[in-house]
Amino acid sequence: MDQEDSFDIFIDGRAIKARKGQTIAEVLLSNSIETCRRTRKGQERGVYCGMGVCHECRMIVDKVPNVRTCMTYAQPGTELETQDDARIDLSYAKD
Amino acid sequence: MQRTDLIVIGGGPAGISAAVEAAKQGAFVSIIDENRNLGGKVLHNDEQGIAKLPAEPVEDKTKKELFAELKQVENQIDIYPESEVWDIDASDLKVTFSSRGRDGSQSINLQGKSIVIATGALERAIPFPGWEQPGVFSIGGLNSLVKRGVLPGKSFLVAGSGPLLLLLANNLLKAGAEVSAVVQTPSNFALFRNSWKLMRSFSFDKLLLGFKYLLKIRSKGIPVYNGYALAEVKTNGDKKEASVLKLDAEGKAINSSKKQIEIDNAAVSYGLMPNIILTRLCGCKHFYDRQRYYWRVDSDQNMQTSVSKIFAAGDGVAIKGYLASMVEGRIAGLQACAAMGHLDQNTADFRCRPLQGKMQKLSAVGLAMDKLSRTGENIFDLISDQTVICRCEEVTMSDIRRAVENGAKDIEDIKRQTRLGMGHCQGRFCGQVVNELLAKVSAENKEPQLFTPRIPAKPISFKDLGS
Repeated sequence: MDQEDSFDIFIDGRAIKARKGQTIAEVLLSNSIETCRRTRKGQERGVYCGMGVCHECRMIVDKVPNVRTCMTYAQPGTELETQDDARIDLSYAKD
Repeated sequence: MQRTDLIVIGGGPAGISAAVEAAKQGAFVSIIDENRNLGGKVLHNDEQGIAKLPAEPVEDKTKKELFAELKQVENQIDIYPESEVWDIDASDLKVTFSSRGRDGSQSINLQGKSIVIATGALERAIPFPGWEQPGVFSIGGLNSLVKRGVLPGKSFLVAGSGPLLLLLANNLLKAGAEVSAVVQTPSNFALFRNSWKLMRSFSFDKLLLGFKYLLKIRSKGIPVYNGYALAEVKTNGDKKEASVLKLDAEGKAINSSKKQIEIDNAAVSYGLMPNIILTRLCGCKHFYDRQRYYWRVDSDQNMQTSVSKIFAAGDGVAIKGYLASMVEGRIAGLQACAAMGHLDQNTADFRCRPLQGKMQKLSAVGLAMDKLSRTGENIFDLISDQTVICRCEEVTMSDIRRAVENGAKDIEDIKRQTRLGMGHCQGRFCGQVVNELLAKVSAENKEPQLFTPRIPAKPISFKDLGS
């Protein structure tokens, strides 16, 4: 990999390598990370359709919840959090 | 409010062809596409050089020609990349979309004089136990990843039906992955019969490509199970265990025939169907095509829908592949110009005639492809009570059964009682099978129904909504 074309992004505080032009989903799967979020019933979910339709690959991206990682490109320093749907729903309820 | 002549939604083979044809007649065209680069799934124009696998030479040639044509009329074409349409006002020809690709994230209103909808295909998904787990992909989903140099694991099971299975298996091998098995629901006999139909429609190129892929798969000693189904995927630590069952002549699974295969990842889907979200939002007439087993927009030979000045083209109308989609796109582009007054109707009709002749020949190919993907209703017997049907709202088969016991009569009743189809994806996947599942538990044979289309058709943030 060309040094200039790679950079770090962070998942739950841990640095992983991204290639320029990759979507966040592509970066995760290149780093053997399959789980993007946990459902309200606590089940793990990850990339399924890869084209923005199924919404299974949602994560908290730079503090914004429910971002489809397959449709969002990685930027140097992007901060990802594995999404916990139960907690997201509660935070909406508070607003 | 921004204004343009022709709005083309979807910048794949059909959309680009429509835009190019309209621009040549002097129209100003705006193309709205979800991705960073145009070209759609097959002819994706990878400007960033991410792709790792070389494309098929014939695809590469077509792509270069199409993008060269687009370049010639670039002054008349405005492209909105990374933009998703979430509302259309068909009477005012006004399209509203969220756009991330230019000038940051915002919502844009664009009014045109005509609209071409070319939003392509969705994959047909049939639920089975374990399909919701991370590491189980749709065929097209995994194929795009592999083409772009991403391999989520080492060993893969490719299952379902349709021509994309062999394509994905072939791409996985090219990328250096291990394919544990290819599992196809159609029997050898069904595959032979439909290949024969492809031959009779003079589509030797498609057949040859299929045989080339099959030979490569077979030469590596990879088992290809025809007349089998992937029945379950279980996760055991880092590995997954797939259960594969043989199907009898009626397509029912034979439980004693179980094969267990250890894999890292699986990819499953059962062919393609048109994405009709936006044509439905426009109020265009649709019908259930009993030969192809999916809903489609009603359009005439000019690609005109039932709504004035709204045209549809490509796989979004009926599955036909990129070559036929490009022909339809050109017809739609010419006819849209006639509708907008950029071209008189007689000239448009005259120029469309040879294209329509081509379409007649090519449409047989699409039909044969759909038949190659056909999987009988008995495949739904693989679904257990605990199987997740609506992935977003985590509605299981037993929830649907309970709703019917509590008096649910149609799919809207099921939606109200279980929340099936009310999650983030808005029923894009569970909506495909809810009719069949309802028929299974209620033992009544109803006409197939669709969920009412709702806005926003795609997600939009409150911040952008206010912009």
